[in-house]
Amino acid sequence: MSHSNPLPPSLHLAHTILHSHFGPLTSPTYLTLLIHGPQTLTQLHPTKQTKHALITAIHHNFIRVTAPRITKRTGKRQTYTIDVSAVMARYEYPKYAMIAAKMAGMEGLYIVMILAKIGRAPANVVIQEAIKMRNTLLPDKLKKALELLMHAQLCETVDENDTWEYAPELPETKPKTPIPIPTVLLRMEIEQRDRHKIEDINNNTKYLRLCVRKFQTLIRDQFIIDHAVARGSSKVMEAVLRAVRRKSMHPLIDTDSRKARSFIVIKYTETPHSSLRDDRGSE
Amino acid sequence: MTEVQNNLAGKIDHIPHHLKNLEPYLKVLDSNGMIVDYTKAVANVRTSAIARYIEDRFGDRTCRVWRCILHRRVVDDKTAGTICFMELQELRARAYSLLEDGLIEFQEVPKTTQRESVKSSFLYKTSLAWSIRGMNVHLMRTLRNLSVRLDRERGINQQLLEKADGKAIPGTDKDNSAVVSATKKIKKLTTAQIRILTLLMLFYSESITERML
Repeated sequence: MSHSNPLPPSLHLAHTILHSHFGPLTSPTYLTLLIHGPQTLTQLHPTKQTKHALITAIHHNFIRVTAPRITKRTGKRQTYTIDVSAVMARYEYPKYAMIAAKMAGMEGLYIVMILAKIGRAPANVVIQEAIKMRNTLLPDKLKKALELLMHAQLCETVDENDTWEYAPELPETKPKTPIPIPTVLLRMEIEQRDRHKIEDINNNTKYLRLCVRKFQTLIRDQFIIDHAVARGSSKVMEAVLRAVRRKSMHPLIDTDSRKARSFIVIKYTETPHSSLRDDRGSE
Repeated sequence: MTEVQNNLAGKIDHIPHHLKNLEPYLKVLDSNGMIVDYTKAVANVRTSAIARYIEDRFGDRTCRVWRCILHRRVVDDKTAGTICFMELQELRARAYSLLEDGLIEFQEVPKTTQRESVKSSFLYKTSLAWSIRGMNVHLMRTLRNLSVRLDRERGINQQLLEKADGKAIPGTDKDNSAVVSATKKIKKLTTAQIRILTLLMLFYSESITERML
């Protein structure tokens, strides 16, 4: 690409990564999405190649698909957007593999490598592929490693066609009163917990994928421990951050103020979760 | 709070003292809970990362100039020179190298109607957000160049790399040394790529990490 390229540096980099990882056949579709932003399938010219590119992107979890909007002009349409930060995270996969290796040994390393390569797959396929890659690996040990990764929330299960983690579902009619943000976040947290059920490993209809957010959190916490804290207190900070990670994946907001959103609160009372679960059950 | 203390019991002494040290990032609640201020912690990490980057690239004297400007937000060159114990000429040269990377910005204050640069003074200004933006752009460009170079190297040395994967290397010693040097080059580039990306993910404002906050 020449210097006169109109893309800003972040999109330029994203395009380079996608081109180098997924080849020249899919890259025109991704470039169109990067230049023009959210696009419908019709706007992307629905050829076989475009559809293939979109499916690849969905499987590798770097595309955001909005819920269908009904407009008078175009009818029912979904729009596709590339998530640039998810694309950049692809370069960090070697680091993720090292984290998994520390946690679950050689088996963990190979599981992350397979999931980075395929995007998402049922547990049995992941195990088969790992054994194909290295003959010495045992299925039982691989399964145990998978359980460990699921327990640490580094892997999660999704449906085959699940498109994006938190794509908001647009309600048909506008609600009269807006849903408060803490409730939305708590619901997200419960949904997140549903994705880490260890028994889902035996369910072949459930697909496994890497939980990039969790890996990112681990890396960020390590940064804070290494660089923001004095050496003597680093172990205490490590213990605190571990406690935060164990308590919640998402921030639990105790006030509605904007500033409070930047805090993550650990609370030792489980009341907000249990009350929300009751609400959910009654629905 | 109690959970942390139980986990560390017997391993570390004076836990309350350490918790006091961590006060900028932690806040103990009355209801037996604790708040971790990630925004502050991440901002601190970013500042130290930028300082280290400048120190590695331009030297510690330039880093001193950047720290002074960041601390003062807006500062004229004479004041900056006094604070940093530097001559005006050296300060300007160092500030210019920071300006080239987009880490600071400056404004000319002309003293004469002819706007002679020798006689006019300059105001330097920066903020953490501005420096992060500059770092972002710079790192992205570097990373892109690296990945293009890596792809090109892989294309050129494809045969040699295939040989290295196959382990059995038929041919002369000259072939073997070529394979080793190609593999070394690719490894070096990949390591650099990962290192730069680690820094970039720290600064990229829309990163997945930040969306959590």
